[in-house]
Amino acid sequence: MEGRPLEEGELVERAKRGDVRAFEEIVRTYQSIAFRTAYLIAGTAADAEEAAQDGFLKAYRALSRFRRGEPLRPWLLQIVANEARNRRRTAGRRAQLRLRAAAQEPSGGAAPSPEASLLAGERRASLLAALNELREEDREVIACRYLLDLSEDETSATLGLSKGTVKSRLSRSLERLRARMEGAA
Amino acid sequence: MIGLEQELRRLGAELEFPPTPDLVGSVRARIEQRKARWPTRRALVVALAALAAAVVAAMAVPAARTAILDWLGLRGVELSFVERLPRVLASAQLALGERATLADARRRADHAVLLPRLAGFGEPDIVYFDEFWEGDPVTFVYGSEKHVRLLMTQFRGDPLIEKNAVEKKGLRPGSRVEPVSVNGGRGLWLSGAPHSFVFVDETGRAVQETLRLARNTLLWEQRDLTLRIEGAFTKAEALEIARSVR
Repeated sequence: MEGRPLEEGELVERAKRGDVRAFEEIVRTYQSIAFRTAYLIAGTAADAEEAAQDGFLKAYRALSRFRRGEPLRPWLLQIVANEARNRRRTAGRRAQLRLRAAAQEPSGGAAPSPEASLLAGERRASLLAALNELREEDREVIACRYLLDLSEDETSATLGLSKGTVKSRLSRSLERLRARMEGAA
Repeated sequence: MIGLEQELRRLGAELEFPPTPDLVGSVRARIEQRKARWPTRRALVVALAALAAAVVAAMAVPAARTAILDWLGLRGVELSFVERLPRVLASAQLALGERATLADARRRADHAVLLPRLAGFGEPDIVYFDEFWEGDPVTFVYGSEKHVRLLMTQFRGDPLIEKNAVEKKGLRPGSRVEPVSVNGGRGLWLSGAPHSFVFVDETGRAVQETLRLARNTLLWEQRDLTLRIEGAFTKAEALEIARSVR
């Protein structure tokens, strides 16, 4: 987990008092996960950057409403995800997930890790294809919970869903993903 | 065999993400830009025409004063009474933020964006959005910049706004202020001689380029918003427009 609660709380308090440097520290800590979350939702790097930037700006303005002691990361991700969703809705497109070039060729260049070989070849390609074909709401919940490895609480905050809904949607989405993979096999 | 969930986690680590851009720099730049353009605690001051004689008299009575100030004090709006209005050119430009489309304003504003639902007022001709003000004000122009039929501004009037960004009004002879009810919310009808309208910063200084004269104005609260319409209309016409807003 990023951030240590005490220091983070102090940063938030400073940022609330108008200390821009303290807020920069918060942005530095969370920009990567914020950008990736936005990318998985909005679908393009440009939209993701805009969504993350606007999200951080809105968070800065809304800091006075952020309750002391609450976890910061899901709160930020929720704002960024909302920005990203609004952009996707406007643009009407979605991201096609792709693998890193290095991961596509486990035998070339760097030494392949044991994990890479476990999830090698066709299996990985078909998993990716099945993911790309899922309905948006299914893919979003899987992306947050597994691809980005957010906790269940964070997933529910990020997507603005109750924990119960996250649980049931996750299990249904995984079922549909499984079915697609079996159908393709 | 590993479980599907575990596979997905591994896949996540192998996904290609575009490189994360430098958000620290861009967010800092935008915060600074915003501070330069408008201090964060900037207030919107509308120095408005004077108080009717009856109100002036009532103001001298402390209890009545509180009651009057209560209805004068809409969320995000504060009326102040000034001896003299700042000098202002009637032709001063509108300073309402940046031009946007309606869809854009809806996407960016931190609140619902309402529209009048009255024949003759469909989609606005010009839309402005001002992200540099705490309440995310969205302004519609019906007509053109030169011939504004109706100017409508809406912003989130929550306690944050009340504290940080205050619309102030000063009154001068020849203008009237009346409490009205619009869609169940408190409202104010400002009419008579034109009043001046200006944004001030947190120190109370007027931001000169925002100063302009306003015509008849109706202000009211609806949901979490404070709305303001301005135009060459009568009270009945203004209320008809306001009551159609959804």
